[in-house]
Amino acid sequence: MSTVAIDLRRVEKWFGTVGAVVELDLQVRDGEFVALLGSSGCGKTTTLRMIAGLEQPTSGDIFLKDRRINDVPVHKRNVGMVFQNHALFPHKTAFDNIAFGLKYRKVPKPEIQRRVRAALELVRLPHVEERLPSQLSGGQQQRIAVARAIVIEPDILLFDEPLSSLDAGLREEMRIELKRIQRTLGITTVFVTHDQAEALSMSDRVVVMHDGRKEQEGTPEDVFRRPTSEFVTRFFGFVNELTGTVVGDDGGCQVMRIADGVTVRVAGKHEAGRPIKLLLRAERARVGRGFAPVADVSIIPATVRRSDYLGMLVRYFVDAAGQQLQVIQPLEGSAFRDGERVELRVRAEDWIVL
Amino acid sequence: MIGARAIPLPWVLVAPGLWCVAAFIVLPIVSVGAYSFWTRLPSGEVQTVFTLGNWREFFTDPFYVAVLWSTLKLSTATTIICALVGYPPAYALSLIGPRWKGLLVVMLFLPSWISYVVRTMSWLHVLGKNGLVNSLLLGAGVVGEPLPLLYNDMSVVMGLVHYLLPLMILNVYIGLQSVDRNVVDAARTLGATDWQAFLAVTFPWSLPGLSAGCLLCFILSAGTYVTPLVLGGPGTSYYAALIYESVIPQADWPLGAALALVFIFVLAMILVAYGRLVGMGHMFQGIK
Repeated sequence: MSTVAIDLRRVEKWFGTVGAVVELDLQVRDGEFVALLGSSGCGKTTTLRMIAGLEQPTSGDIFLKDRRINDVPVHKRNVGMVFQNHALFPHKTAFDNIAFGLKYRKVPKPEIQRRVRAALELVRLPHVEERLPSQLSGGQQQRIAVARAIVIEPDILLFDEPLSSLDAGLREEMRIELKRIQRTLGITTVFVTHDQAEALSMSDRVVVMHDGRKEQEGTPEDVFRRPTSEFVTRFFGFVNELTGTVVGDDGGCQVMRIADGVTVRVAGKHEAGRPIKLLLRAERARVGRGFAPVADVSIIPATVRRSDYLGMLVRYFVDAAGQQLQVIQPLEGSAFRDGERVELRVRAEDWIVL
Repeated sequence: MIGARAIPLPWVLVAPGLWCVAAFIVLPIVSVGAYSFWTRLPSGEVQTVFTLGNWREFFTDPFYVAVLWSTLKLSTATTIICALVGYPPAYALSLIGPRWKGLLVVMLFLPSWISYVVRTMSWLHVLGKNGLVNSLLLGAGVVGEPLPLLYNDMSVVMGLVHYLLPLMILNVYIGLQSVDRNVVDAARTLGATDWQAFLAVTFPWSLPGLSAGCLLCFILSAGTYVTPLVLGGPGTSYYAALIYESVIPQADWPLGAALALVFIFVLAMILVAYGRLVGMGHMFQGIK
C-alpha cells in the first residue's frame, strides 16, 4: 500500500460569495498521476494553485507527506509547476531558465551545470542551452518549462493545462512525452486539464470537478464507463437520452419499453412502474444490417437521416424508437446513404441508468 | 487613375506627418539658429547682420554653463525622486482589481484638469511663511519662527515632482501591465521569495516603462520655466527660465536663440546617450 503524498481535507476557497472550491477532499498517492478534469471555472486550477501555495484556502487543510503546509510559503514548498503558457523567463537563456530554481537552493555551480544538462537530456532537448525562449518553438519551450520544474527535484509536480497552448499534433506528442518523464521520475503528479482525452490517456486516476465540487473520481475507465452523474456522462462526448419503462425480466437483464412496440434489454435491476432516463453514448451503439440476435443485445429498426464523414469515423443521425439518435462508429467500406433502412444494435451493459 | 509616376502609398501616408515635422520642428529650429547669429541693437531691435557676439557671450561667461549644469542636476534629482516615489503606487495599481483600477487612474489625472500654473501657485499657500506647513509647525511649537521653505531649489524640485509624478506613475504602470503574473508565480514555485521574484522578474520587466517615464520626466523638468519662476528663489537659476528672461523681459532674442540652441543640443545629446545606454527599442518594447 503506497503512502499518501498530497492530502486535501475539506478544502474550500471562496472569492467573496463565490465558492471556487467547495468541500474538497482529495488524496494523491506517492508516485500517482492524477488529472483534475473539468470545464473552465470548475475550480481545478484554484485547487492546483492552493497545492502550490499560490492561493490560500479559505478553510480546510492541505498536507504534503503528512506535513500540514497551509502556512508554508510557496518558495519553501518544493513543488515543481508547469504553467499554461510555459511562463519562461523571457530574458534568460534556456540554461538560465532551468538553473533558476537551483540558484535559490544554493547549489554549487558545477552541480548546477550537471543537473541542468541531465534535465535537458531527460526532456530530450540538448544543445539549446544558450537559446532564448523566443528562439524556441512552442514544443521546445514546453520541454524547457518541464525541465525547469523537475530539475529542483520537487516533491510533487503540478501541471496547469500545459498542453492547451500547443497545436493538435504537438499536443499528442507532448502527452506521451510528459507521461514518459513522469514515469521515469516516478514523481507524484497533479495535472489540470479540460481535455478529456488528455485526462483519460495520461492519468492513473481522474477527478472530475464541477462547480467547485468533486463530481466523481476513479480510474480513467471507471469514470468513462461507469459515470455516476449525468454531468460526468455528458462530459465525455455526445450522449443520447431516452426514456424507458420496465416491462419484464429476461435473465440477468430487464426489458424496457422505449417506444411503442420497441423494447430493449438493459443490464441491472431497475424500479418498475415509472419512466426511467436511459443514457447512451454515441459511440456505444452500432448502425448496421443483419446483426445476429444474441442474448443481451437489442436490435432496433432505424432509418438513416444524415451522416457526417469524419475520416476514420462516421457519425450517423438515425431515426429510431420515435426520436433522433446519434451514433459514431468506425467507417468500414462506404457509409449508409440518407434514408436507408438500417438496424441499431445496443448491448445491455451500454445503457447508462443513473 | 494611377499614373506611372504616382507617389508610393507609404509616402502619401507619412506626408502629413513629415509636413508637420518640417513646419513645426525643423523650420523653427532653423529660424532660431538664424536669430542666434544676428545682432541686437541697444534699442532692442534685431538687425540681420552677422555676429558671433551671442555665442561669444555664452562661451566666455561661466554663468550660463553653471546654470545649465545646475538645471541638469535639479532635473536629475526630480527624475530620481519621481521614480522612487512613483514606482510603488504604479506597482500597487498593477496589482489591484479592474474595478478600482479605472477609478484610481482617473484620480491620478484628476489634478491635471486644473491648470499647471494654478497647481504650482498652490504651493505658495502650503510652503509660504503663513502657509500650511509653517502654521502647523508653529502651532505645535516645533519651531519658533517660520522656516524658509519657499524660493529655493527644494521648493522647485517639489513643484516639479508634483507636476510630473502622474506621468511617471502612468509610464511605470504601463510597463508593469505587461508583466506575466504566471512568470512571477513560476519564480515563486522555484524557490524565490516574493521580494526575490520581484527583483528577478517584475522589476526587469518594468524597466522599459520606468526608463520611458524617467526620460519624459527629465526632459519635461529640464524644459519647464513656470515652476522655477514661481517657486524658485533669487539664488536659483533655471536654464529654461534664463531663456525666458532673455527673450521676454530683456527682449534679447538673439542671445535667447543662442541659449535655446545650446539647450536643444545638450538635451539631444543626453537623449542619444540615454538611448545608447538603455536602448530605445527596449523602451518601446513595453508599448508592444
